[in-house]
Amino acid sequence: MKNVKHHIMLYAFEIIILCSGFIIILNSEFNFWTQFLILGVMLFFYTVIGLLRHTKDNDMHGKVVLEYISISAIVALLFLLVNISRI
Amino acid sequence: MFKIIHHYFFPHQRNNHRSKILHNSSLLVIIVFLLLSTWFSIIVNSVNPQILGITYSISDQELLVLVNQKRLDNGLSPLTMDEKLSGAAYGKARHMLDNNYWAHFAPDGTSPWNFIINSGYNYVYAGENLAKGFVNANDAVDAWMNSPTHRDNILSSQYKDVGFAIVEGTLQGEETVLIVELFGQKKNPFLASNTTDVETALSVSDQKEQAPVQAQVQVQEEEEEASVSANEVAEVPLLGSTDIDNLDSVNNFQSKLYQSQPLFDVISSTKTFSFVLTAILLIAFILDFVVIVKRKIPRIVGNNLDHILLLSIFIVFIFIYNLGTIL
Repeated sequence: MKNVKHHIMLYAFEIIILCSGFIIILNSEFNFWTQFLILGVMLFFYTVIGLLRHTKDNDMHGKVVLEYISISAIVALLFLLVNISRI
Repeated sequence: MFKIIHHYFFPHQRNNHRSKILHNSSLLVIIVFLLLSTWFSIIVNSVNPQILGITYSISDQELLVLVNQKRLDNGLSPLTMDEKLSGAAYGKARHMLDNNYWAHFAPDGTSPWNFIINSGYNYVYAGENLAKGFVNANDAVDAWMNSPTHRDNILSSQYKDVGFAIVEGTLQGEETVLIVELFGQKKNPFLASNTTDVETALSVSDQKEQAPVQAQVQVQEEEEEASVSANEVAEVPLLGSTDIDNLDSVNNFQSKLYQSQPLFDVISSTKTFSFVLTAILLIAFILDFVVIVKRKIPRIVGNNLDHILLLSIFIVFIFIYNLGTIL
C-alpha cells in the first residue's frame, strides 16, 4: 500500500487511461481495427506507466519488462479472439 | 491435483515465491496458445462456417412483435407491417452493403427517404433505425430502446407503419447482419380527394415539406450529415436507373426468418474462453499479491496491482462487450 501512496498520481493516470480506453471501445462506432488500435495505444501506456514506476523504485529488470509486454499481449490476443467473427 | 494447483497459484519456495502460472515462461506458453487458437479459429471460420460460425436467429415478425410490445407498454397503438416499407428497408440494407457504408445518409447523398419514395410509399412522416452485429431480435430492440433517439422513433405516435429488413453481408471488412427498420405514416388519401385542387396542392405542399423535417429530426440528433434543410432533403435526386432496377427485387422481398446454426457459436465460445482465462490470471495475481504482502518477501517482478487493475477492467469489458451496434 506504501507503493500506491507513493505513486498515487501514476495509478490515477493509469486508471483513467484504462477506463477511458475501454469505454471508448464500448461506445464507439469504429470498425474492429480502429478499436484494436485504441487498445494497442492503451496497452502501450499501461506498459510505459508500469515501467516508469519500476524505474522510480529502482527495481527495473529485463524480466519485468517482459512480464508487462506478456500481459499486454495476452489482453490484446484475447480481444482479438473475442472479435474473431469480425476479422 | 492439490499440489499442482498450489504450485501454479500460490507463491512458495519451490516456485521461487512466484505462482508458476505467472512466470514469464508460463505467460509465453499462454501467448503461443492464444496465437494458435486465433489462427485456428480464423481458418475454421473461413473454410467452414457451419462448424465454427455465428449463431443468428432474427425474423422481421419477431422484431414487429417486440416493437409493438414496447409501444403497447407505453400506451401507443401497434404499428402495421408494410410491404413497401420492408422493401425500402431491404433496398437501404443492400445499398449499404454494396457501397460499403454504415450511415443514415450514403456518401453519394442518397437519403433513407429515397428508398421509401421509390418503394411507392407516400409518406407524411418517416424515420429510420439501424442495427448491425446483433444475433437476435431481442438484443437489437433492447439496444434501440436504450438509446433516447432510437427509442423516440419506436415510441412515436406519428408513425403507423413499419418495415424491416435483415440482410447478411460484408460491411467495412466485417461479416455482419444488418437490420434496417423504417417507420412511416402514409399521406391521408381522404384529405386529397375531398378538397379543391388549390387546397390539395397547398396541403400536399405543406405536408411534403413537413415530412422530411420530421424524418430529418429523427436522424439529425445522431448524425451531423443530417443537418440539411427541409428543402434540401425534399430535393434530393431520386435513385438512378440501376437502383430503380434493383427495386424490382426490393418489391419482391418477402418476410423471412434469418437463421444460422453452426456446430459451435464463435461469439459465445470465444467470449466464454476469454472470460475464463482472464479470471484464472486475475485470481492467480490476487493470490500471489495477498500471499507476498502477508509474508513480506522481496522479489523483482512486475507490480501485481497493475496487472490486477488491467485484468479487472478487462474482465468487466468482456462481460458487457456486445458486438452489435446501432445507428
